[in-house]
Amino acid sequence: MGSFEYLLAALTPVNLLFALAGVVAGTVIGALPGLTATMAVAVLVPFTFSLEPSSALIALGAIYTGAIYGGAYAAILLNTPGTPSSIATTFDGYPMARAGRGDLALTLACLASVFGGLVGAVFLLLLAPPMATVALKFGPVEYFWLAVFGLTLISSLGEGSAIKGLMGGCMGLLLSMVGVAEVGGDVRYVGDAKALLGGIDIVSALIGLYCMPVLIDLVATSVAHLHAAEKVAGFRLREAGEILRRSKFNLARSSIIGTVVGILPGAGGSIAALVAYSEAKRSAPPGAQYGKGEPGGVLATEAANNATVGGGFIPTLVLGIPGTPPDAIILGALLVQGIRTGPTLFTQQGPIVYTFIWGLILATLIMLPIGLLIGRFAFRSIVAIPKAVLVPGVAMLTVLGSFSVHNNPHEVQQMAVLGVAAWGLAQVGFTASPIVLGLILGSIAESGYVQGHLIGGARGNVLAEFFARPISIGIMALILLGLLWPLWAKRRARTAGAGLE
Amino acid sequence: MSERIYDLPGAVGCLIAIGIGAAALWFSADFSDLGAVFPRTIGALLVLLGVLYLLLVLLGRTSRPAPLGGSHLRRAGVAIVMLGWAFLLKPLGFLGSSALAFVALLMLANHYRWTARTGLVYGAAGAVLLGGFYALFKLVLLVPLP
Repeated sequence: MGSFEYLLAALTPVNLLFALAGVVAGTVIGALPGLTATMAVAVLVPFTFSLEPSSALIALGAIYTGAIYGGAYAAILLNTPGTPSSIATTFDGYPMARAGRGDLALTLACLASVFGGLVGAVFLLLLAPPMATVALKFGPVEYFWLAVFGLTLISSLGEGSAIKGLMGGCMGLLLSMVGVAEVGGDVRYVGDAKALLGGIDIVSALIGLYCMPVLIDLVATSVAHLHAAEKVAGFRLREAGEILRRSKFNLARSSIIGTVVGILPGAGGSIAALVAYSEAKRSAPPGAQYGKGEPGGVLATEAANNATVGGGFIPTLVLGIPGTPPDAIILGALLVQGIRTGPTLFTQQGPIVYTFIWGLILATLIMLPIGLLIGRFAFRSIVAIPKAVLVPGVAMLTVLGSFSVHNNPHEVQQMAVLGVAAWGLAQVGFTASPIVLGLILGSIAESGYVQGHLIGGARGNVLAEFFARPISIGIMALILLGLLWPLWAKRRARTAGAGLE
Repeated sequence: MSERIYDLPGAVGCLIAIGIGAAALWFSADFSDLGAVFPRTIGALLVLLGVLYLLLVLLGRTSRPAPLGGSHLRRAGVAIVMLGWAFLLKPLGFLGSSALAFVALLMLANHYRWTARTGLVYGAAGAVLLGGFYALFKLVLLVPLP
């Protein structure tokens, strides 16, 4: 099959319908402050279990991309980021809204999100297959180092201390060992709970770890999750088009920043948007009003955060290492579908993957009319949902979601217990993302580590097996880079923040 | 000279992590050599990192998370309701356990005075959500809800 056939496969009415539904659902959930893109994907993932794999992937990609964009509504109209990815959108989006240009800011956010999303998806289409060819040369030890690479990055990029992030990663790794071991067949950390013999279900765990702490904190105060926004007038497309034409370099640069940051495991849309904003501000001509309602700020952040969607799928599909937290959930959903990500995915499941990539491009294009329309008509109804109804409604989705993975009530219990534990751990400084990464990468890391040990032992030199192979050395260099990267990223983000103050 | 910040909640978290790591090491004694390699490595690493962070806490070279605002009782209430919902799902069935949990969460999440109107509107919203999700999952997606 060629590219055109894959495009046609993505263009079936069913796939288009799922892309449309995914974009709408993602945009609506992403627009609710406190409900992140990760949560949007997590609560809607069970709806995809009964779908064909390519349709399920298209729906999930559409939800993800819609949710990242949806975060811009609340950021621009309420000065409250709908998702962490849209934090930097508040810097100029809200001042624009206060100055009576909220409609223009929303249109700019939509156009920039579509542009950034398309750049990320095209990079995914072009970069992922050659990367997969290289990845085919990987042995167990290289996979072990890759898993370590993923863990060090997410641990370092998590909020707060890097040591706590690494500890969170270790806790996740230990959770991945619960049940019957993949290598050796030992029954580990199960005790008398026979329900744990099959291990911790990844999707249920992810729903609990990401959604429950949000629900627990939502009820704590009487502060409304949304406030009534100011009046939104029209599309102002012509004016937005003119601004876009003037800001084409800003748009292209921000999209590329978003894609590259998305490729790095653990670095999500929030970092991409802050870095892109900082670059846009740094290279702006004198007199630009960044922080006071400069349209270029909205363009930079929205192009960058949506570009992370395509970028994040590159390590997810090629290496099985999620680029961003929503990718981690999509990875779990793929496992439910019986699809194992990794370098062989493009040769063994080529039609599914390429149809998905084209589907992601189509979903991003669908976001243009949908985004513009939702900005005008649906936002007011989202504002109207009282928190008292929102909390039990989302809670019901978490219960249904964790149950319907395997129709198993024990997995709902796992979700609830891990969710409460995650909230408790968050209070002492441990965030969910490193734990999730440890849980997902645990089996890759362990089989690579144990097999490497066995092979090295048979060859008489375990250390050489782990530290002297050329590809391993390259990945170890990346690990070092990954440990130094957060220092740079945090410095850039701090500079951007300080500049605004 | 900058002020030293002692991350006491973080220190408690580290003690928990050290406990988890030590337990992982302890239980790995029952595993085969092959099955114990990775748990022992990760358990030991967790203990080591925990001790390292505790040292940083003692030296005051850590940052403390911002204290939580809002009602802790309501937070605890949500945690208890969610755990109860999960464990009662099988014995009470989806509709029974969900109706109870929905009402409890509704009450926990509402910070305003209850009136007949809010009771009616929220009750109707709950019934629509519960009935809608039940129909969607049970009848459309064919999920065998208990």
